[in-house]
Amino acid sequence: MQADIDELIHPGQNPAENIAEGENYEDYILSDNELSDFITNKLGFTINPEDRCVANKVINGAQCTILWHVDDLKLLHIDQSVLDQVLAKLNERFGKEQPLTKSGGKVHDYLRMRLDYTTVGQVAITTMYDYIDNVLADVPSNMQTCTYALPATANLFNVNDNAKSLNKQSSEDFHT
Amino acid sequence: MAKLLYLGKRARPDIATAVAFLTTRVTKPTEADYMKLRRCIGYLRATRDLPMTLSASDLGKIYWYVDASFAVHHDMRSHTGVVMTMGKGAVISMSVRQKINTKSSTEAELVGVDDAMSQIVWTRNFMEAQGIKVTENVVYQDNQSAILLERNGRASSGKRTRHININYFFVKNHINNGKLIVECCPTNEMLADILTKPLGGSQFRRFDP
Repeated sequence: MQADIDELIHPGQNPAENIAEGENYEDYILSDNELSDFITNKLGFTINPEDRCVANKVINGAQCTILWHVDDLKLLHIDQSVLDQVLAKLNERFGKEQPLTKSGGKVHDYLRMRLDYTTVGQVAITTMYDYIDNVLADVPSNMQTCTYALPATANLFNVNDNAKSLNKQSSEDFHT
Repeated sequence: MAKLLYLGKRARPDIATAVAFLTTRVTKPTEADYMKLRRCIGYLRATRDLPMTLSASDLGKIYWYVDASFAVHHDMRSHTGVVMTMGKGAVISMSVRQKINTKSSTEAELVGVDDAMSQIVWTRNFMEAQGIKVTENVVYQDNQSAILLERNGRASSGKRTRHININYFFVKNHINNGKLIVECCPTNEMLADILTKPLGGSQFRRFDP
């Protein structure tokens, strides 16, 4: 599942820059697993001991945070010029063959979620349309059109030991 | 199921309870399980555009809602539901079948808190490592007996709770250290209710993600 997610997010970035919630959010796609070493040893960030994919450094009196999932980064700092400097260093190291892909602004596609920071003080995960559509497209034909107002009824946890088992095809559908 | 799990963990906690049950059925699914999966898919289709909104009124204030449904599973295990919010929306949510059998709803609630404790402790540590002072770290529960046990440990044990494993008083240690407080919340305000059992129409819609 992880690999599938990563493949999808690589082409989906749109370059744009903006400011949301007093901070700047930018996603950068990299393609190097030496990222962690570079961020700590060359850029001087300190890894959060509770999460090895989050690093912090105080720059110009304010905290700069980098968090990443595999090779997809999010940078946060109150000052856009700091983000530009950090990006330049990342580009210098990882963008020799092809410049890093950058997405700034108030709306981001990240790990198949669309994160919308348009309203100050909140983030709306407005959609996982592509992901849901992908799920719905893969379901068997007898699930293609049904709609329900609730995800489960009162008998959700009931299990009947004498109930008829699914045939092989339906069992595979169930599993996937 | 894996795709539904990812959805339930990210933007759609409203399907998490159904998915938590269905994942227990993948090895020997029956036709009844298939119909439950069909309903979950149908709900997803009908609510495809439903957004989840998260907001934080204060980054230093973390609120946990922990609930349990007693002996609802076929093997008489209970089901834990956990919601962490910092204002609006479930930043972290869990809907899991408990790993042990319990003898009462009070014990199930204690096991529920224990299920959540790793996340509760980690979240506080993570926020503090980010330089954020956590001023409030509150666990809300709707079972008074469980709250007394968590606050007082063995001192509040009676005949029915004396057997409870000391491991579940891990939470008491954190309360004593001032890292956590446990408060009572009415059942109709218990945000984790939706993650412990299937709710009906109006009850379900109260927990709009």
